[in-house]
Amino acid sequence: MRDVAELLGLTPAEVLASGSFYTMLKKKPTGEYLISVCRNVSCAHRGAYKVINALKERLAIEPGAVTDDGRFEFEMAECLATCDGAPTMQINYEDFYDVTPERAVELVDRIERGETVTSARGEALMTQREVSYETALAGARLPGTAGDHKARTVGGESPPEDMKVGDRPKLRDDEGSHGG
Amino acid sequence: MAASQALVVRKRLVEIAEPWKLDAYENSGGYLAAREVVGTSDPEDALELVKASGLRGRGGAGFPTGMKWSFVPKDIFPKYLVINHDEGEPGTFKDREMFELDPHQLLEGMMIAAFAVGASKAFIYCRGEFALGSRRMDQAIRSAYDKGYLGTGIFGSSFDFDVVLHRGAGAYICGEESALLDSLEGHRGQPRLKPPFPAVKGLYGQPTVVNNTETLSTLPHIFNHGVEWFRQWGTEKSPGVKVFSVSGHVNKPGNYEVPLGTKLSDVLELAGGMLDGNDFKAVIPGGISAPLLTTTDIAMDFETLQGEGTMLGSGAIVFMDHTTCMVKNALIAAEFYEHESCGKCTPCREGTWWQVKVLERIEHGEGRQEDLDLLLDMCNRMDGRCFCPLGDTAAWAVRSNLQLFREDFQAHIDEGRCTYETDHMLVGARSGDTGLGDAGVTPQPSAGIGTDSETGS
Amino acid sequence: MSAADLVTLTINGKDVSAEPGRNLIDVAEELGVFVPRFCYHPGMKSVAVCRMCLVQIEGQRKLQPACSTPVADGMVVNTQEASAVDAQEGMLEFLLINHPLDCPICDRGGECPLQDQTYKHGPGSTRYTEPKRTYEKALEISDLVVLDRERCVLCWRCVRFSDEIAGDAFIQLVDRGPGTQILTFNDEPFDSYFSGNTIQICPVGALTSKPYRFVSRPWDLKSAPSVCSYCSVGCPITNESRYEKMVRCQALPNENVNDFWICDKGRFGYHHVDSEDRLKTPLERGSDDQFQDVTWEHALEKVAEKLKDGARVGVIAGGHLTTEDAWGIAKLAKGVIGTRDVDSRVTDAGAPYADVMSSGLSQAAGSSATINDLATARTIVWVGPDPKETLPVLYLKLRAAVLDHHAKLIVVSPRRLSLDAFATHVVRSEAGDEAHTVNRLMSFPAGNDLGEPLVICWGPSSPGRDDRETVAALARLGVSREAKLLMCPPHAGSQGLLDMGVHPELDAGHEPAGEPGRDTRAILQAAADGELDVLLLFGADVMADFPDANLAERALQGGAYVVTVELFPTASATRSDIVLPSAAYAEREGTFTNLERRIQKLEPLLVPPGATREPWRICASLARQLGSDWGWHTFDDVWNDIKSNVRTHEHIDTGVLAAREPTPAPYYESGYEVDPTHSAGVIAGPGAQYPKGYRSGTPFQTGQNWPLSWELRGFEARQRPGILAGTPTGARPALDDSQLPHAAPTPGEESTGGFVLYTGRLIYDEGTMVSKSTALRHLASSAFVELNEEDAKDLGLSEGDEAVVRANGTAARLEVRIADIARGAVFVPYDQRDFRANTLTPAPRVTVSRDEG
Repeated sequence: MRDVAELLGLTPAEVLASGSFYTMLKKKPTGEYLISVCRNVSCAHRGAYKVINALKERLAIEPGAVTDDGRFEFEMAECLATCDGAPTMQINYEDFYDVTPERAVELVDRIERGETVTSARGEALMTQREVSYETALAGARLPGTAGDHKARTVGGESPPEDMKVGDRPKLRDDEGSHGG
Repeated sequence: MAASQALVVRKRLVEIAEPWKLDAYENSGGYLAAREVVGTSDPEDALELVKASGLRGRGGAGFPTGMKWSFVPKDIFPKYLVINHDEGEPGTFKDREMFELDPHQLLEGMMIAAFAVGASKAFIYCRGEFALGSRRMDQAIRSAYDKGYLGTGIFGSSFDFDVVLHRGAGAYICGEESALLDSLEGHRGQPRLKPPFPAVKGLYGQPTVVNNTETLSTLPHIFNHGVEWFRQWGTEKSPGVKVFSVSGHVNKPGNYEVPLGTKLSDVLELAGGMLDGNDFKAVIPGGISAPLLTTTDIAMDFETLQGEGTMLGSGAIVFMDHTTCMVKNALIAAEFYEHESCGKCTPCREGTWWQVKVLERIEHGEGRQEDLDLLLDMCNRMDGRCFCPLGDTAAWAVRSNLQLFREDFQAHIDEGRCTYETDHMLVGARSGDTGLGDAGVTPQPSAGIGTDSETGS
Repeated sequence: MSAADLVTLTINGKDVSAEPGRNLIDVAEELGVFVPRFCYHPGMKSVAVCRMCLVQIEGQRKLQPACSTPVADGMVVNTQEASAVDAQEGMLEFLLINHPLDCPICDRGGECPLQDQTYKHGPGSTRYTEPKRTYEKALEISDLVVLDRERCVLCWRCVRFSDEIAGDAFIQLVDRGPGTQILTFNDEPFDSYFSGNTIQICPVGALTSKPYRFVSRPWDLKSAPSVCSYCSVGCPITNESRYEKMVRCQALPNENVNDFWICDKGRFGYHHVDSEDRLKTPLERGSDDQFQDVTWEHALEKVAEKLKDGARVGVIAGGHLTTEDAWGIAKLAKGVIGTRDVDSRVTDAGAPYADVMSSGLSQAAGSSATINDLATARTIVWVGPDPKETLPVLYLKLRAAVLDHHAKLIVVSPRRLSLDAFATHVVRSEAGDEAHTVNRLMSFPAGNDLGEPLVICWGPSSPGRDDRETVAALARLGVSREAKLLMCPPHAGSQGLLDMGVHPELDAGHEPAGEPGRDTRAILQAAADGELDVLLLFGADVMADFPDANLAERALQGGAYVVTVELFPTASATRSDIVLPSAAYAEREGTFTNLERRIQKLEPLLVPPGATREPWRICASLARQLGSDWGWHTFDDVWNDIKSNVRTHEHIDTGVLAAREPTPAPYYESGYEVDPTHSAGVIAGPGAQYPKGYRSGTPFQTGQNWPLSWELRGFEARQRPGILAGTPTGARPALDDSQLPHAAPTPGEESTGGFVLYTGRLIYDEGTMVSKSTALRHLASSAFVELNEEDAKDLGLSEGDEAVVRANGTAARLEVRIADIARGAVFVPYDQRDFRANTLTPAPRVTVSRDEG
């Protein structure tokens, strides 16, 4: 966080303030595979808590914790917008539908064995590290590539180029008003 | 009357293979509307058309889209368009589906909207958990840029339009438009004081229009076929079609696109009826924030539901059958609001915490008689007094369960246990008792205590 | 605004008129209807997060937060309507469910807005039977501030203050929802010069003062309104004591001077008053060179004897004396003794205040602008010391002027100042070359960022440096643009001393003296050369503060009879012949004249200990000994005399000066106490009454209320020494040089291996008063030397190395800091414990080399 603060000209406290607000920004190292089980209304009504209990038993950890070998982290998540497949879960943010307790355990077993696991939509799992990079670089464009255009930086975020120090939104015919 | 879908926004994703590809999109009539609007129309005319269509926001608030656009001041630049794809209202999954499967539809709607309001840059705020969706949208944006459909002078016109894809990081509150803008700017995602409204002073202090995914995805169709066509469906005040996400105790959970005003019972029929033929007990009509209904004999449009003391909201419908413990239902909702409360205002921050504590006791058989009135009082003291609707709806959700199904709560208290012993409704025991992060849901470790390694600086 | 432009509204049945757009909560309060609140603070933008101020407004479905509702015509407000009352009780119930039962051990008990409002609006008992949210208690987040998160009601005042007002975002909100807490980052302390303000504005005992922890209960306190005696901003403060010992200082609000804020030095720097080291009796040096206690009678007789018969007398006064002291000194020296060798410039020796007037830059040897003019200025030009170190609350005002009022700030300085963080243009003058740089500004076309109204801020920035050319250049700039001047002398009493004529070239009322006398340097030189018979030092520690310690020492040992009026046995006092003990600021009725020439009153809290006396009283006694009875017995006597003799002060109404009801003891703004009418002091001109809630008239200034929208946040870099410009958001647009005439370097300024020496005070140093503060003493940094990166490289030095800095026969070993400073210049802080730069000054150049062991 100090590095980010240095880059952006903020205090580390400010970085902490923004960062700590978001569930997906983890403050401790996560497991290689993050299993997020939805515990919200549709999934709960279709048996999510049985899945949660099954995973608790299988991984021998409480939700929010990481296994000793650092391979799995298991958390209870809020609605993942996959209610049509309730109960659902995500593994490294790939969706899995109609997850029964048995299926959940089976998925863990298969990942542990190193087998390829694909999501409900056919996507292969990535590791947390790969996921982090993908998230951070969402929308990024490398200079010189097709579609390169001004005002894009890593993460797709950049303040508008036309913003300058002390600028106020100006009405076209107002050249020099001041005083707020 | 046999219910049937009226496929508009979902048409392509239902009927075509790999609809997210640019070729597939164009071959099925995509980008015609945008090309024409941007090339030949006047922004004023485009805005008037949207106004005339009566399109209402599809994210939850149902605010007339054309009216929202008209609040944007003409002479202040730059202006921004922001797409609220932070679909987080529990029970809602319509935006995810159309974003994953038909991203170009949204892009086309964005082009039209941006042109109409005078925005030269758009930001898509995509929920952090939507890994696949953002991947697909990223691809769609690249291919659109490659073909000159985005960037300087799109479709060979004089209109420049850039799109930035931003991913959220797990906060339901960022679905609230002003909190979304704060989050986009890199702050904590906490709602802003209004006025000024985003249309006047929004992102970076500039005029900003925030629209929902489904709202904008509807635009190409309105422009392709016209206002009359759009208004053939729905009611006077709620024209057009809506995608309803149906889930819970139904046989065929899924997204169903029907005309506004369709009877809820017809929607239930489309979803295959109650699960295993069980009895209907209650339904959430518009996302967990909408107070419950105990009937399906009601038209699903904005004004009717509002008249019944609930709301259409995001159109997320969750059916519950007779095996459902309403205390558990209330607790699930309360925990959700506690986790997602941003913490800004007193009644929501403390009220959601307290609600959970009391409901937990009732659910685990430790409820006292006075708890029921206490809960009601708590809800009444939250409702209408919070900084943003999250706190208000937290009160509605819990209060609705309590008011309509007081007998469930009473039974818990009388018998000192949860009176519904249904397998699929098992709720796990609470971990821990005091302090932070005892909710068991992605606990937020208290920063600042502990070593550098803990906070990962 | 005429009556026709006001709007009329009804609050609880009472009609009131107000300017449209004013905050409802303020208008209600002025009407006498106090709307309960936690997060609202008139000094900051409204955020409406606590929801305590919800009121019912006719026609609105939901209750509205009064703190962010602008008044409108015909509005009908009811704060006592059933749902509003229920909301008030409900909010307090919500706040109290997680609030610990700490009242018995909480410092805030007895002066706590939460307690007060709960009594008035809250539930009588609790319904909450669940476990409360707990945190580790009493976290020391800095040496001065203790944080208890359990008590925090998350009103955001501290975070907003740090972010919005001070610009030191070291304390922030962390986590989300019911787990939200206020915190600093890990091991980074809340190192802000303004951290104490968060203690005062925290409505509960979450942020408390470490020096004041467990010291007193508020009902044991006595308080007196006063003015801070440190810098020339002159923030009004209240001194508070318990059983005749000073225990605390708090800020008093004055919208014209300090808003609601004071710096930590003023807040925690009061320990000198009760210090054991205080001089309590007159002392006379015996033949054995030891000091003996003597009586006042004896001492005064002795001194008077020396002053008689045409003795050659030099008088030097220090900057922390009151206006009355100043008049006493001037009257004694020029009137009774008849000497013209009188000067009040010690640290600022030689500062060309008189030139300010003679050049036409101002109509007096002082400011023509007020602090408020900063807010309405189009452009502010700053040529002076680093205000964050020497005039902290002025720094806050400058920051507000730029960030809130969109003034353009142009800073001319050879080194990075704290203002650079938000300055519109930073013009790095070349070493030794400020005047030249200011001249270049002259040619900058008007209508660009150098527009009008223009306020020029000037203060002597580097003790020992000759600023006359700079002032002349500023005068040329200012006169041509009809600019106003905000002159920033260093100390609380500096301006008052000028006003009263404690100056060789100026008499009282800024009348040019017929025949100018010797200035401080010349006086000391004369003393050193044996040409003075008596040297009178009033609160002037020339050994420590005069920018030539060598000369000062020689002066004190030059044979003159040295009389010192002092608080402590300073280095100068111990070289004197007679030492007369002075009363401290908290023990006296008096006034300070601040840099705006605003006169503000001090009321005494404590009795002067031992045999200490006010300097003006000492002057009157001496005058009587010399045959001139002034009749000075009380404060009013002195002022009557001032009014009849000083042209610029004839209209001062001392009744207005004291027009402040005694501050309630203790002072805090729960709102249920007597509302003290805060006197704004009186400028040579009409004073202003403080209307409550002045700032809240525009709660919606930026795109959002808070946090500050992106356009303001992104451009402010951190402000710690050693951070070089060049961080991505730290890039500042430079003055467009292409439009300026090409500058030729001043001859003789080429670097010949010597560096131009710049020096200046840091906020915490070895000053006579602040070094006695047990709270602040150890916050003072050790001495260092700032070097330009290139220069350092040429010398083979890097950050942290030890360098030897030589001048005047002094060789100092100082730690190197690479800084943003002009090539050919170095900066050494003036008065740190391990090194005093006044052994190097006034040598204009020093040599720097590596320490060869």
